Amino acid sequence: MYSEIKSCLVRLLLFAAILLPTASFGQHITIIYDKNNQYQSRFLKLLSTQLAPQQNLTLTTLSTDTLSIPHLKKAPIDLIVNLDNKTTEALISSNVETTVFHALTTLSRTKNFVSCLPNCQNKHPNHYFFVLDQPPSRQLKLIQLINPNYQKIGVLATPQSKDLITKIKRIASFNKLTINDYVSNTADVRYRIDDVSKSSDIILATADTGIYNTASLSQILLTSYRYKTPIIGFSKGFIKAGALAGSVSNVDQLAQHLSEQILQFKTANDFLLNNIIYPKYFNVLSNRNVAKSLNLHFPNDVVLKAQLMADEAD
Amino acid sequence: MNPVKNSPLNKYHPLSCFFIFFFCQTLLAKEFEDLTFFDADIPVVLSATRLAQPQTEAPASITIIDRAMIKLSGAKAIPELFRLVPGMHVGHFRGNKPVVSYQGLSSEYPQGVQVLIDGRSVYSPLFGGVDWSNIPLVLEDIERIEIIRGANGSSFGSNAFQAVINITTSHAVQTDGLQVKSTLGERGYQRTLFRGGFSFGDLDIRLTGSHLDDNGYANNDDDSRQDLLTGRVDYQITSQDNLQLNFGVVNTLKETHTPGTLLDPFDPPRHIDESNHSLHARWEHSTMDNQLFITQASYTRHLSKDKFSSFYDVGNELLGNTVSHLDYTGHYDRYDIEFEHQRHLNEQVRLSWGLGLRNDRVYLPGQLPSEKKFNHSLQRLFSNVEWHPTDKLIINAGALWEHSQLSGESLSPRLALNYLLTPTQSLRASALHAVRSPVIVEDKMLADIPLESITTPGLVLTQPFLRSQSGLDPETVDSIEFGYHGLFIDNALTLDIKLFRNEYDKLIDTTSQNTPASLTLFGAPLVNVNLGLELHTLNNLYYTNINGYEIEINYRPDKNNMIHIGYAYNHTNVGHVSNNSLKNLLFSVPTDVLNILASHTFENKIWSSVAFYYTGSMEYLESGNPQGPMRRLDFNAGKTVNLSPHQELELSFHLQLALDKNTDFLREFSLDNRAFFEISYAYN
Repeated sequence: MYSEIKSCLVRLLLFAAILLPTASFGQHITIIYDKNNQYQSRFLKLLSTQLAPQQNLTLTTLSTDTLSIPHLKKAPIDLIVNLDNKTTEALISSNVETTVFHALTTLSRTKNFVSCLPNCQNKHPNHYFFVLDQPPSRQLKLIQLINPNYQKIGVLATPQSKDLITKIKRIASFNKLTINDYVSNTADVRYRIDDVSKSSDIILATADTGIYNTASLSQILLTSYRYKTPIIGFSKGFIKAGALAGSVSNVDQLAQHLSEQILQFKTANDFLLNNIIYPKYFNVLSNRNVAKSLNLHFPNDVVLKAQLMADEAD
Repeated sequence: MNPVKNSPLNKYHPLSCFFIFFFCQTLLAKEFEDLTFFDADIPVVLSATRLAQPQTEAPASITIIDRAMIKLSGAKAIPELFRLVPGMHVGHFRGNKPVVSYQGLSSEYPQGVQVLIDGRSVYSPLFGGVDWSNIPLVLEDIERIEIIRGANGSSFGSNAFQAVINITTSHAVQTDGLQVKSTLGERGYQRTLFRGGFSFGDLDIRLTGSHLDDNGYANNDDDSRQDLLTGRVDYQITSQDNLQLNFGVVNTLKETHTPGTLLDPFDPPRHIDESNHSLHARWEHSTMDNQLFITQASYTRHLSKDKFSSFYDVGNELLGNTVSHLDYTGHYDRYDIEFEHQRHLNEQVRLSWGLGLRNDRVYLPGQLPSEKKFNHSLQRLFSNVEWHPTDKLIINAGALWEHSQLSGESLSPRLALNYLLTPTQSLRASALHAVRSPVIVEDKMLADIPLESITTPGLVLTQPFLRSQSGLDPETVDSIEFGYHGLFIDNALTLDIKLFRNEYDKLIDTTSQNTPASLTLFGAPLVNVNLGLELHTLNNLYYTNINGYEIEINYRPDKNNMIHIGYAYNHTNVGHVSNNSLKNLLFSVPTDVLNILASHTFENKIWSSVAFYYTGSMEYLESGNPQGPMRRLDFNAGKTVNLSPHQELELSFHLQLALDKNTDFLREFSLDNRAFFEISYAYN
């Protein structure tokens, strides 16, 4: 009996520990992050800063090393924001009922353990993925703005993420573009890039680190350049390394978007239509040295961004 | 003993600590890996040095030969590629020594063309020019060649006198797995190549080895054999630092003798054993504000063993049978270090500057006054400013100051203007001054032909053969150029036109004078004997003006089709020499040079190409052989077969048809047809 009382008291204390610092009548949001990860820590800081002025919002941060899913499930939390990829799988498989916003993840990575993506409204209706990937429509539009004559677009995908190419193909088809998709993996990509470069006018790099990583990047960029096939990159570093251009969302913009969605959050059902939420805010970055070397001339980054935003507003 | 306690998996066991550490590091690395592309600093792969310069903004006319052109040209040796460059012509001295010249004025040593491999000069300090049969490089390792058609002393120093060939090899990471290639050709041509690429994290390594046997031209003793081993290592030290190491070992055995006769005692049939060893390191450091620092150092050692004794009966009772110990051995050691800094001062101005130190130690006992090694040191300082005062105007102003131990100080300035009519069309005007410093052997030439009597010991007949006028000046060129470069049809068609006037002065050549031989007895002079032979003396002798134009057209509507056309017209005036020499010099510059390459790749991966090369009548200096126009028609075809996802077989056939059967460099060497068959297997 003593042990039962003790167990009950511990649980009560845990609930109190979660509730006490945040005693308020507003929404309770718990943010899960890995305190050893600088990227996540920085993002958390930005997000917290953006949400701080909201008085009806109570923020709790939870480090992954102290995370307990069972206790999390029982806690009276309105919204969980998960910044840590390793925790995503645990949260999904635990059938937590609270709405969860998963951020700082990519489609390809999440697809590894959420196989229903991109359509998970039935299976995981309370899970939303704020991916780092740029929306395919934006990237394809960017390609057309860079060179309207680029018709054949090469895409490399891993076997796990090749389903995600379907949306790209649909949008491409609507714009009379052809997607040359090749399935590859980290070991094979060094050889597949040859085929892609030869058969395509331009390569669209998806945010799949199974394909694009520090081990494969040199080979990909050097080989595509050998065939004068530029690459649309998905991050500032990638573009600086040698991709031609890309739409890129920085940490500030990602935090801004996520905070807006958090503030708009009421219930999952009448809130977001898709499990996948692409970045809303972005910049266009280009590598003009690569552009010049390939004799490519297109508007400056600011003009390109304005054109993309105008297109999306339509 | 407790097995659990002593198990490597026990967390207190040293090995388990290692595993745990390694595993955790791997996990951390993977986590970092996932987000690296979105936040962290990634090493720049396509840096300024790896990108081809946009030709609309280049201050000179540039021809780019990429890997596609290398393959489709069907070239079996690197010098063959330069037939694709307007104004360049290729010959073979004595059948086994390629000579690549630009706008003529060349003997077997084309001293006006500077050649760099990954930034390292391979210009020989022995006789000048480049020994293409001894450079540690194979066609398969070349990523791109940029040929600057015209002098470019302000960027590349002395010896960038007529043209600059800049060869960039492929990054080691681009060679995956293993490749074996075998080529068989007529007249005993047999080549085997092995290539392998390996990656260990940030370290990439490529190794290439080849063996070549070639019997050269029919009915000539110009056989050659070459063994080669080269390698490249690329190491990404940090995201902002990368290190490139190149090494090469080449050994060549060449047959040679005076063409047309086996009886020349001073140039009898023999084999020359040549070797070339090189080591080159290059470190590039980039900064967050786009500055680039390049430091490179290299060591090259070249040895050409050619030493023999020749017996000769002069037909004189006193001298009787004689022996001549001739040593045409050439050896040099080169140490070279260079530093360069590039930065943008602001949005309109880009500055590059650098300095270099070079030391050559040359050993040429047969052509220099003694058997000691001669030192030649060179210091250089260079700078270039690229200024964009408006969106349409680019001004390049640069200069290179050089101090040569032999010829003193020289300055090579250049001013170039590019005006962009549109982003894809530009006009170009440039003016420059460049020099070619004499090599050691030109400055200190002393070559005699000694005949030691066997019949009368101590009696020696010495015929002076070559001398050098002391204090030779550098050769100079003043060049004016107007150019146009345009891109059309969505960059599928490029057109480059160049009008030029090159005024060469103080060009070095020999004057000849009948000079008696000296007869000595144990070193004491006895008498002079007139054998009717001439002493040739090197001196700054003449000037030449070459005016002309060049056109280059490239049409690549897609990745399966290509047409490349290049044409050069040269009109030459020569002055300050005798009528005979005048004629030779005029003839050394071909009036017309034309090249055409057309190719198509079919859907079933069969590729084919046709190439036509024409070089107008000309005569290489000191060859004594005017040669008629050279016309050659090449047919090439091949097919790639994917044996499996990781195995590829390539078969190709190449036919070179000599349409005129004219001579190549020397009258004893007649151009002829030749066929090659090649098979390559690659495992990735």
